[in-house]
Amino acid sequence: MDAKNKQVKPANTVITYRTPIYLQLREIVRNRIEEGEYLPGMAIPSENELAETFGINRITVRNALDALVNEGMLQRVQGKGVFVLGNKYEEVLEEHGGFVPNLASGKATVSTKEQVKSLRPAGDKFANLFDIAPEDPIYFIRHLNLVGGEAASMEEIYVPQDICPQLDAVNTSVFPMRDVFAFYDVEMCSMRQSLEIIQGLSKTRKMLDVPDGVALIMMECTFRDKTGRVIEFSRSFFRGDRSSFRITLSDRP
Amino acid sequence: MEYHVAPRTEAMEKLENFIAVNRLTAHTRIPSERDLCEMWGINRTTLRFAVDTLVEYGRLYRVRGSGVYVAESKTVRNIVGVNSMSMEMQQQGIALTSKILSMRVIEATKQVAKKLRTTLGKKVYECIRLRYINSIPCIIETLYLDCETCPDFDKYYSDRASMGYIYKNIYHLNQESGEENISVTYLSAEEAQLMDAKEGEPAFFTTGFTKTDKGQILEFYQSIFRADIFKMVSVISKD
Repeated sequence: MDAKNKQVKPANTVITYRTPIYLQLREIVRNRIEEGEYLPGMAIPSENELAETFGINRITVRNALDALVNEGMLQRVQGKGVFVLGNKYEEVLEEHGGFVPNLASGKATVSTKEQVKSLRPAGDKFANLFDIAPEDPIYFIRHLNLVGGEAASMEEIYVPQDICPQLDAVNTSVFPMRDVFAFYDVEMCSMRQSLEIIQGLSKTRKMLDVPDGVALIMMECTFRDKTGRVIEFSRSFFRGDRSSFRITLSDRP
Repeated sequence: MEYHVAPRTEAMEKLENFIAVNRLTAHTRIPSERDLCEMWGINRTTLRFAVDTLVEYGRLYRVRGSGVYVAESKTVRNIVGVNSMSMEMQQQGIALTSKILSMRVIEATKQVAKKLRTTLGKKVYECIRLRYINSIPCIIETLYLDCETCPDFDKYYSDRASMGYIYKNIYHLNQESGEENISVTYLSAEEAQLMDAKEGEPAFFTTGFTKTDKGQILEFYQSIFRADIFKMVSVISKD
């Protein structure tokens, strides 16, 4: 069997002490992903850590991971690490329409910071929204989105824990919620978005460093699954001077 | 991971929920601060924060010396298709009327020419109308059409005519697709006067174009929507 075939059919590779080290490490990582030790959306140990753990060269680690990256099992994210990927949706809900924020004019880089990720009791309001008990746990996540290093928007996300218990392990600043849901087979079937212009709370304005006289755009999104159950609610605040939204219109059925 | 909700957040959500569960309609007064504090066992500062937040989000409003009231919900501009506004409003039982402010033939400026995919100086209709929701002036809409695509448009157009009807029945054109961009603007003195609003108030600024089923650009528009009256909504689903 030549090297090319091994990449295509790795499962058949029999690992022995004579197998090259990089292939041995590749199978270790693959097994840990398949066994669920490394979950989709999670970063695996860094190349340096792996090199140290197994007493091998970093180049060897890199070689081992390359194939898994090419296979679509792992993804390298600049400055953040190597992440496990899961399933993808064949069809993304957003392709059907909806408001799309126009970020970054030109070459400015867009980045997301996960400021808060916590579990909290749903309380009366979210119990009603998600159709769960007030004491049931929900995730609360807050993201700060930066464009060219400056704050452009802030997003608050609420997801019931039972919808996606693995959210704990996932780095939500790397993957949008739609990807995370796809990883864990949570289907998004419909979405309602609304845009309103508001002044915003002083806390929010401070966080986004909004100049006086500039208004905010508040976007609320409700996502539902096939059964109509609400699986995610989010509320975002965009700086009015740095944001616009695009929407595709269509009268085709 | 921490497992709690900040008292202020909890109070705000309780209040939001109270309004929803009790189906309090617009302009209903909510119970007094004292009663709500007692009911939920929270202090005045916490409750005041909750009220302030919901006032800020436009869910409640204060009347001095009288109390706190549930605000009227904003009119939903449901963006579903190319020619949906009047139909959509009709479905919601809202009367949408218009008044022409200006109708003239101009030579296409660089921006208009580009949007209509025509050349500089080409003759185009520029039609500006003020639109009313239940008699409140709240939209200023400027429409550009190529004179060649829609000859004698000024003869057919009136305050009561529907653009969709004119395109379809007079020019036999079917609007099928388009794109719209939404951002924030601030009302000029003139715009504020027309819409009975305050100068400098933030408003929605939308620009867009629509195309026919044959891929021809039909119209280019720019609109200003009062932000205290409208919210933009999009509902999509896979099936």
